Amino acid sequence: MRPTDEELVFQCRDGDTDAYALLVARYQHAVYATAFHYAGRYGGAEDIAQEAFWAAYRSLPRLREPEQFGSWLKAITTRVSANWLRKNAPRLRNETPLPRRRAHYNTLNFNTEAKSSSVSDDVYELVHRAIESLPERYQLPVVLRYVQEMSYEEISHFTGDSHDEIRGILSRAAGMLRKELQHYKDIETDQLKEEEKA
Amino acid sequence: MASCVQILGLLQAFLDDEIGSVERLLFEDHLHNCDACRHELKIARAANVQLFELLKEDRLQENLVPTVMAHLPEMDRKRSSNSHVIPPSKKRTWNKTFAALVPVLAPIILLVLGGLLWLYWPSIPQKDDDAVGLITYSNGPVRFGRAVDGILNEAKEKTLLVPDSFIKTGKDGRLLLGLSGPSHVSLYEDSSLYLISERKLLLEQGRIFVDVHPDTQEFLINTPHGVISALGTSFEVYTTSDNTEVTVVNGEVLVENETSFALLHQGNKALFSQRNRPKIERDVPAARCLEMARNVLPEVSAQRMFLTRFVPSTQETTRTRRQIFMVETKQRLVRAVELNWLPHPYSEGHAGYSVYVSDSSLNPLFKTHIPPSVFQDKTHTSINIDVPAEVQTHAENRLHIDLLPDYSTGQLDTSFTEVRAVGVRP
Repeated sequence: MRPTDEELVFQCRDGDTDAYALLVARYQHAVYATAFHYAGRYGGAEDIAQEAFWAAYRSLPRLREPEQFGSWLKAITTRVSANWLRKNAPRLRNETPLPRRRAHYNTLNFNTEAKSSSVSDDVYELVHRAIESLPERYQLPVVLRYVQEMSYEEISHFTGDSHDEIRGILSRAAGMLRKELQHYKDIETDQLKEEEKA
Repeated sequence: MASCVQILGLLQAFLDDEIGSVERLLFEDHLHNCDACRHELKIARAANVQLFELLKEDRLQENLVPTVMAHLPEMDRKRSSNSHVIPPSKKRTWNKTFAALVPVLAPIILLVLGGLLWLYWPSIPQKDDDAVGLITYSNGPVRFGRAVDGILNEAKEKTLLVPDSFIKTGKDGRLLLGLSGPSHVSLYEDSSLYLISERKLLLEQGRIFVDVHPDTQEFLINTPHGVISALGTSFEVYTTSDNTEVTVVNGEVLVENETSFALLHQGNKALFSQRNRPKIERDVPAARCLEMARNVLPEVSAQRMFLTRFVPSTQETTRTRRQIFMVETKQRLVRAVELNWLPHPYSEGHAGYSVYVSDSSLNPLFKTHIPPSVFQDKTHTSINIDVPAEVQTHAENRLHIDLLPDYSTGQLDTSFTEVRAVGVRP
């Protein structure tokens, strides 16, 4: 039987660090994805995720509703992300956002064809822009679903929304993203046709 | 049959494998018959796969658990609900509570003060210019009113008295009047007294004690049986329906009725009716009257009001009330001199006394001083002055004792009644 968050929180408070390791393992993907969504393009996602877990551990005794550990951790993660962005603002002002950092790294390893790589990079950028254009409330569930492949149940634990709300949000968000992608594909096919003509 | 719109709402859940079993049956059944929806599903599935493919590159690459656990910080053991809220200090809360109460308290305090002012506002009758005295103490059933209209009110302390006032005490009633002069009149139970002026009273019945300030004007008390006139004395008058009894505590009192008169001295008691000759008793225990009068003492604030209003603040100091006594010693050695006096029942501010003792040919023997505190203590009526040992060597025939008040310590004289020599037999 898998222990609930609540049980693990109580064990942590009693000084059981193994219980906290279980909580970290359970939420590391969600925390990382959240950090990546807010500040990842500057390459600080991992630092932020670690910092968030440490901050959560420090203030664990102040958690009033241990069954709400997920959404509490999300709040801490967003706060740590915001702090991180503010703290690094002077440095980041001079730096271009790097949406393709990891994509580029992957393409170097797995994609041999330069052309397909560039196309995939373009689509990658497009998808991120599309996600950012979604309503604020839709963004994090979409990121958690598609980046970390989390189940609706896990997402609802982390965002604090109900399972049905997540289902509705993802259904509408996916529709919007499809439309964006379709639009892009239409443009691409038009371009190809023009190239063929030329 | 579900509509295409409903079915498309289930599309994403179907792709994510988050669809319920009943919904799944409906969905699959619809797709079987609907080409459009089948097409939509195809596009959606492709898009879904594409999104997963693209975004999995952002996925967490390494396990964070070891790094997180390696540098786990100390847990904050302080169980405060929120780290950002500074717990308010108790002092501040107290001040705030007080500050919040100010608008409520201020009118209440003002109201109370106003009420107190109204309550304690001196109740002065309109014609207070002719007031001759005031009530300085009242206890028990005491009624008071103007003789002309006959309406009696309850007599309270600080009530001003005008000429032609009428005062009546019931059972256990006690009253003390201060009259300008100053004189004091105590009324005991079941007495009726008309105040004709500040120096003229009419005692219809009952018992009063009068203490008259020693000045030149005479003080008159009319009774149904005769007139009592006094000069600087204290005495008690007791009038019944048959006769009147006058007991002199201090000084001299003249008693007159229709046919006769009598001059009473200290310690004398006269009993007279309308026509008979006053029957005089000597050496009655007059101190008993004083004892009784001392039970009726003025209320402090009323007395203060009386003193400021009816007693001139600057008393004449020209009088030096020197008292001289001669004591027969009959050739005995004198160990001490005993001074007796009658304590003043009301007043404060006694003068101390200097005592000069000389022999029969007025050669000084010794002198001493009695502090005012001795007279202030109303329970004492005598003091022994020891004769110094060197003076005790030869016996005298007679001692001259000169008593001089020291007005620097107080304004009030003490009238000594008796000086005796306390001796040892040779």
